[in-house]
Amino acid sequence: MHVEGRFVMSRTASATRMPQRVAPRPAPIPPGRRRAATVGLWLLVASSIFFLPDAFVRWFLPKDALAAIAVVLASVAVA
Amino acid sequence: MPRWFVAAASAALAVALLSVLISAAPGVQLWGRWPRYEGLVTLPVYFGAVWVGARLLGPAAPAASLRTLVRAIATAAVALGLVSLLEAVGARPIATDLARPGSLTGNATDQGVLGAIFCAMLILPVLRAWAEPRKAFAERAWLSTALLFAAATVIVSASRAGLLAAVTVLGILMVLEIVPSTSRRRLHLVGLTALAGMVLIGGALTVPFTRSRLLGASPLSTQSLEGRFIFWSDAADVLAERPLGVGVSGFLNANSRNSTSN
Repeated sequence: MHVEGRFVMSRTASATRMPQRVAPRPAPIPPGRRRAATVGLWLLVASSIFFLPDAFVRWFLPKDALAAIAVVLASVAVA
Repeated sequence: MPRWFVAAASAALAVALLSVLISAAPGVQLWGRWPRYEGLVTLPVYFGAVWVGARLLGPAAPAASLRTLVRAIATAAVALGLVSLLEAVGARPIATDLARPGSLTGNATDQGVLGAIFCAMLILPVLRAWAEPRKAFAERAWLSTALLFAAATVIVSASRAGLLAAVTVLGILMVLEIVPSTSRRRLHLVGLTALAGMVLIGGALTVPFTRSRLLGASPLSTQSLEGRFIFWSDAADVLAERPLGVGVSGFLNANSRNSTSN
């Protein structure tokens, strides 16, 4: 049975005889990109607590710098 | 990313750039002022972080990415919580002369709000971990410990904003979880929510310096609240004088001329 461009299996028909459209599998992600995504996510979260020793440096710039590195790594992951 | 978001972000960027170009100190304001540098230094990183979230953790994100995110947050929550607890008992693992050092963040408000964000990100994974029979005990224990540390961070930060944020996210997340549940599980979740609320509020009222800030007994708590009203009043004065504003990072200079807080 064909309904609106999709093949729908009838209960009485044998499944093996009916033509079926299989959803295309997503292309596998290369391991290098997967690793870059993982490291990017870890670094992005870590940037929220990252600091350098000495006065006021628990503040923004060290956190921003690490977050920037994470963004670059993530861009490699989705390139 | 959705086109509407890119368009809105581009429009906001254009307005910010225009406001800086017609400001009193375009050169300094373009880079942003110390310590946040919310200009060409930091704003691209903020947009980058949103982009990473959308690309790696959007609706089609693989389960492995979400698992990575939760594990990273759990680890960060434990680190933040450990330093928070050490500082709460008087230790200073990181040299500082501040009464409320802020653990691994810049100040105690950031510490409390970050703790609340970690609570928001861990509440549902912890619930799911205990509901999922195949989940390893180590994973359940690690996530639960991290959630406890995140709650402890909120409490010992003595940040009213952090506590309000934590109670709010707890309420919202649990309502979203309770509404579609079966009646038996619903009862269980209501009990858990009440227990978590009691831990947060009870903990805040038990820790002496948090209690004194919450109840307005400490002079610093009144001062920091009044300071905010003074800033808002100063901002209204600056706006009345310059209806188009003073540009990104321009408030400090404009306020030093108008300030009523001196």
